[in-house]
Amino acid sequence: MTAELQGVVALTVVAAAALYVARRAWSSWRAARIAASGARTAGCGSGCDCR
Amino acid sequence: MTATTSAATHLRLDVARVAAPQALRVALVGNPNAGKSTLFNALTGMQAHVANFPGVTVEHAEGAYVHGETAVTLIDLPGTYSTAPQSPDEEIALDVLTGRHRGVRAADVIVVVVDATNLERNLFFATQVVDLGRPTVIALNRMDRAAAEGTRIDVPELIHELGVVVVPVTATKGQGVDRLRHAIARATALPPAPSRIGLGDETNVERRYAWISGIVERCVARQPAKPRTASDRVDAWLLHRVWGLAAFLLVLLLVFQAMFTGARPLTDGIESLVGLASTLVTTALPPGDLRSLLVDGVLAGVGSVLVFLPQIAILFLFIGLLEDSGYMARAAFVMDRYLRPLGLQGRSFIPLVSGYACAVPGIMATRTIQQREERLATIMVVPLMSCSARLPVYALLIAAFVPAVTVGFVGLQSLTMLGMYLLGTGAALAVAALFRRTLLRSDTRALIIELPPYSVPSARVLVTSASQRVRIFLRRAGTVIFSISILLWALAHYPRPRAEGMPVTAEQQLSQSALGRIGHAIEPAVRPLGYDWKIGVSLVASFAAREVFVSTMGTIYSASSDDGTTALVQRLRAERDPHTNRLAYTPLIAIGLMVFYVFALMCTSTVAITVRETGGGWRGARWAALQFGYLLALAYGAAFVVYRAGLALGFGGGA
Repeated sequence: MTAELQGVVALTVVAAAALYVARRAWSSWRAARIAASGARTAGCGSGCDCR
Repeated sequence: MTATTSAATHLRLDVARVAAPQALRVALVGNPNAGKSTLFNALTGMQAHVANFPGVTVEHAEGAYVHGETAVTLIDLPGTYSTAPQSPDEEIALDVLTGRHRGVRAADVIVVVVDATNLERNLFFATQVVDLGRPTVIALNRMDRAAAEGTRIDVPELIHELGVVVVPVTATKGQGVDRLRHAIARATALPPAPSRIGLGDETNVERRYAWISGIVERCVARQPAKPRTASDRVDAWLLHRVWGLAAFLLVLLLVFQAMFTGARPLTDGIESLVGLASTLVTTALPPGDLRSLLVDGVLAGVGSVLVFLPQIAILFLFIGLLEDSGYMARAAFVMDRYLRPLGLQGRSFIPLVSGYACAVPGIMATRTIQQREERLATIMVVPLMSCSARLPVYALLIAAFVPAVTVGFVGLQSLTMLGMYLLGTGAALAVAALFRRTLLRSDTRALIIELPPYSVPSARVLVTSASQRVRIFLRRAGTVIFSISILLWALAHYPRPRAEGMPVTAEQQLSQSALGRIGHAIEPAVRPLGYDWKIGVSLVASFAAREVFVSTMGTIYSASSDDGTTALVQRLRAERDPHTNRLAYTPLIAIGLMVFYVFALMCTSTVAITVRETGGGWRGARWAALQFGYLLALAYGAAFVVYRAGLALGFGGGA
């Protein structure tokens, strides 16, 4: 595998990881919003990553 | 020790809803510790965690089974002493029972679990439920234990007295469970029992007790009490005001010793596997970004966290063992004496101990505390109990900077770990006392707690519970920590410094990368604590999750090293300050850093659950902000004091 190709693959993986982390952060934020609205849902809250 | 309640508690909450909407809805209710969760598992065949102390079931869980042609949805509700709720979890139970819980249909059949070894007290709530006039079945649980104690219950007479079906069962052995399923399926076809005593005022309470005494007199024959059981003799020691506390501390010490000595071979094994994987990737790929990403990012980051998996598994095995053996309720009883002067009571102890696993179930378990001020004070301090996410941080720093020598028969490393747990616990108690004397003043209620008989925990249940935690940890390592490691690698590698003919060292590359620049910007804020920019960056990254501190250090040290094979512990020990050439990390800095982690609230899930459990909305957000703020101030202040005091006393140590 050439150095250029490795660079492209690495950047693609980094972009995918960034998207994943952003999605997690968004769902955590939403869960906090739901919690702040006073809703009582079952369990420890959707989007909670304590598991 | 969580957990008490644990961690496993909220694992149990996402039991799948499998039954069809037209299924018979059956609610399982009863006093705390009557064996509801065990019976729930026996009826549905599910593997749920069972702990024998009050407050385990903080929300309701659902399961399903089919009996003959009847599909049944079974709802396991929190333990309740009467139909007049005293605490938030009792309120949930009664709301679900009567159909007032939002989005939950009222139960078609109510199964009241009654502990046969404690009939008189359990019948108070059972008869109240019968008086609701709904189809009801009574499951008379722990018949084996009642028989062993020499208690004989005349079940036909009990049926006659109560006017509802009573089925004797022993849930732990599955005895009578089929008959109970049959009775549940037929319950709606039977006429409701007549209401003997109305629900309501004090007079009714007295009349109910009088009626129950009569029932017990007619239905129960007891052999004369045995002098002193083995359980009584053990309790004389474990509940003693001095020996009880000593025993509790000894138990904690044993747990930490086991975590260090027992986990070592497995930890070494995982470390070797990660090293082997790095070598394989290095051999298979030519030098380049992808190889660096895999070795310096993924394997260094995720691998440095994975090595703590055995210690986490051992911690949870012990937590399960203490819960299921019946010891945890005794520990709560012993601690009640010490908590009372601080304005808390033994009931706060279970949420606090739950915090050793994870603050989220710990905060949820405060619902068993009836008084608002006491509950809020407990919620505010639960995050001070060292949760399992801090374990990798402590373990890394202790392995790197605390010598592996023994003091008496105990390892110094285990003692240091115990010290961190005790520091968190002591701080939690002190802060709770402060809250109870200022913002949250009120009288402390007396503790009424049931001490379950000692029992030998089931190995299967223990292993299942620990393996659930291991899976959670692996999932985090494979998702959050994996992704953050990749991002940190990218921040540590880009932008590339201009080469201009000269070869760039790994250290220069890291220093000029985005991560290096962020670190240098943070450095002034962490310098007073003795930390360099690398620790500063790792601290900031670990606000996402505490374990990320370890993976960030793994990535940074992998990126800054031209030889990618040395373990993180060795790199930390050998790291030198580029300006002074003295050792960058000393035992003093490591202790200060651990103290920071003992106090700091670096967990978004905990913040979210605090908002919800303190009332939601702005009210909840204010409590959560206060919690986050005071813990951060405490962490910074304590780490500063430790570092400065250590320097003043000559413990700087960097040669």
